[in-house]
Amino acid sequence: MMVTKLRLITQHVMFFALTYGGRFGIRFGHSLPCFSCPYVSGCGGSCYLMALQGNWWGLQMSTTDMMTAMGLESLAHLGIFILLVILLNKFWCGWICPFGVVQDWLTYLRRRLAIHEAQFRWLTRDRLKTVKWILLAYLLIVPLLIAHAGGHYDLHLPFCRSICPAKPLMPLFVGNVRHLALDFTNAVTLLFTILSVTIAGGMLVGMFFKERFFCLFCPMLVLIHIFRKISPVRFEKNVDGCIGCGNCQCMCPMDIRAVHEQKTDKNVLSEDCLLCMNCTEACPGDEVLSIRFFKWRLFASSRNYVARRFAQRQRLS
Amino acid sequence: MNEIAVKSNPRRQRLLQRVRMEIHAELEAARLQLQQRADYHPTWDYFLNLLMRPLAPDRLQAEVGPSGETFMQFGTV
Amino acid sequence: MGLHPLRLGSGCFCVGRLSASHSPVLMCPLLKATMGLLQFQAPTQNDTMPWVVPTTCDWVVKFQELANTQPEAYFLELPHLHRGEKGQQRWLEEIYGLVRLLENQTGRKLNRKTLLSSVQIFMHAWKVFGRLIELRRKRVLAGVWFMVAANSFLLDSIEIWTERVHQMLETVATHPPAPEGNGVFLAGSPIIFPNFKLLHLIETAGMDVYGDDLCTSERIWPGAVCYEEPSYRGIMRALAERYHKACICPTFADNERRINSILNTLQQHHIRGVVYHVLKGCHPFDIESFNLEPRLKSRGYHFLKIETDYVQEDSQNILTRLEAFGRI
Repeated sequence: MMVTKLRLITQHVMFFALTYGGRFGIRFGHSLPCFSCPYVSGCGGSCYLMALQGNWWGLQMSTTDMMTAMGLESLAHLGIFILLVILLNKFWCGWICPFGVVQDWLTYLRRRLAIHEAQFRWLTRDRLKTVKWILLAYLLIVPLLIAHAGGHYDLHLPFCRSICPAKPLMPLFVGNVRHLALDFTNAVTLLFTILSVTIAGGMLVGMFFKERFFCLFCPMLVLIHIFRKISPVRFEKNVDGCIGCGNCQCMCPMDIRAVHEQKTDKNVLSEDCLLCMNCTEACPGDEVLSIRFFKWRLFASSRNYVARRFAQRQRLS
Repeated sequence: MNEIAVKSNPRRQRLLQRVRMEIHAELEAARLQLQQRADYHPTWDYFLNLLMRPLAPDRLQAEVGPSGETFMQFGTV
Repeated sequence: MGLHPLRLGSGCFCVGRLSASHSPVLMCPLLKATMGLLQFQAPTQNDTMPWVVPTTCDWVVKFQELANTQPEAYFLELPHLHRGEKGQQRWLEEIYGLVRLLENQTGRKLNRKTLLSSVQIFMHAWKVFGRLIELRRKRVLAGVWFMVAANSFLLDSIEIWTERVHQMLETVATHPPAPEGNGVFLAGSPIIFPNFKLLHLIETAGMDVYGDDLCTSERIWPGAVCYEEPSYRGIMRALAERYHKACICPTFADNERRINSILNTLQQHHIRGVVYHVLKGCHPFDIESFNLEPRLKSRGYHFLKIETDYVQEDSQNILTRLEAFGRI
């Protein structure tokens, strides 16, 4: 079976399991390294970013709570998160993340309408990389300030409540429109909800015109990336085999140039990579790009595969 | 041979005629050499004919291709 | 758009004589022959037919001036840096320019649908061409015959050509492979029918060409277009990038990937020797041979550089060198 199809099936199965799974007794816990939003009632598992920022199992925990069983629990959640990240690494992004699927739907719609994708200049694209680090810093520092430096409690879950577009958008899939409303309780809540709704609106437009637009800014991507070196998931390039055709760059939803440009290091799993394997599928060099899991090779590029896949695809279009 | 640039020059016409024959001979010789090989098969004739055709003297004129469409000339060197 | 490209490059020796008196002595014989051939042009019938020249080397750039043809050539200005954003952007603009020219010529509009179907036709051709390369590697198909098939690419409608190659493959695939012999890899300047001198000489010297990186043979087109965006602009961009970025012609300044392509074939098919063909006056290939030779030799491959043109007089000399090379 074509990798694309397998990925589509996996993505959709996981979307339904993570969005509606709770209603059928599926519960994957609170440590998932993907945007399975806990604001979706009846979801099948929760994004770890919420646990990480929260006062139950996260950074906002007070020093006294840390000494209790809650401290151990939070360590357990962190442990599970790290384990999951190590095990599947970026597969979480390209194959599982439900918010990623929503973005892919928008892209699919745009392509059906034959609307051209927005293009960033290379320099702009490189500069955007820093945004997700800033967001990561934001979601780590603010909870610490609340817990230890007297920050206002209404600043809690800063990333989820003010930035993350999944919070207003994902609950729409279970018919919940409450998160689109503004909260007039005080200045902080009002600011947070205005930010949240504005960003969600902007992101919707962005995600329509640019494939995986939100992933460009996703702090989870950074967290996952940190563990790439100890993960059994490997994305490798036979640098001597590359003839530099540039298909990998052309096909990448994140416009990654590193795979194409790499000339010495065989490890090409870059910071923005989602492991969607689009590049590997389009690489005409036999075994030039390959995805490995431990010692097993999951998939490797080949000329025959490219010819088969694209001939099929063009029949469809 | 500088007068070659002068289009209506009769010497040029004669020269062109001679070269035309020489080209033909050169192409035929090359084709024959290939056809006399032990591994020659008649299916190759299509390709050999193609190679002969664009080098023929009238090759730059607009041609109607087998699919009924007009050929357009491109220089790719 | 209902148009077919027709390649102009020529390998004919006689015709080169027509241009000999008004062109530089050391001019690339390929262009000399092409220039001579243009003397046969009947101006009245061709006034409206443009001919398009990508500016790959200095000879091509000055070609219009030397040949003084009517109508004037349309130059596709080739950015010689193809890994950077600027070069790619400029090339895309050139391609859009070409589309405008063709649209003006024909009065027809290029649209997404025709682009898509043409991409598909080329994908099919690429698949068949891949099988052709495989058969040559397996020694079922002689190097000379491979060159015949590749040389005739774009001389007929691509669909018919593909169909014929496919038919020919059916016939040839049943043949037994030739006994394991002295396989060599042929690199360097293009070889065009009828000038198969070097190929015949290589065979006479007891070797055969198992692979090559000539732009009139295996590298005649860089492969089919893979696109992610099925919009008009998306396909145009993919198309432009494919034919620019994937090209490993020595005319590019950032061309270090060419060696990879050669080494790959050598390794995968256990070829030990490289014959490097330089047409006299073909500077880009000549220059790059100086970089290639030490790198190939350092990996234990044998390297022989042969500098020649379309004349037959040096055949014996080349044959002697090839025979000596074959014995190593």
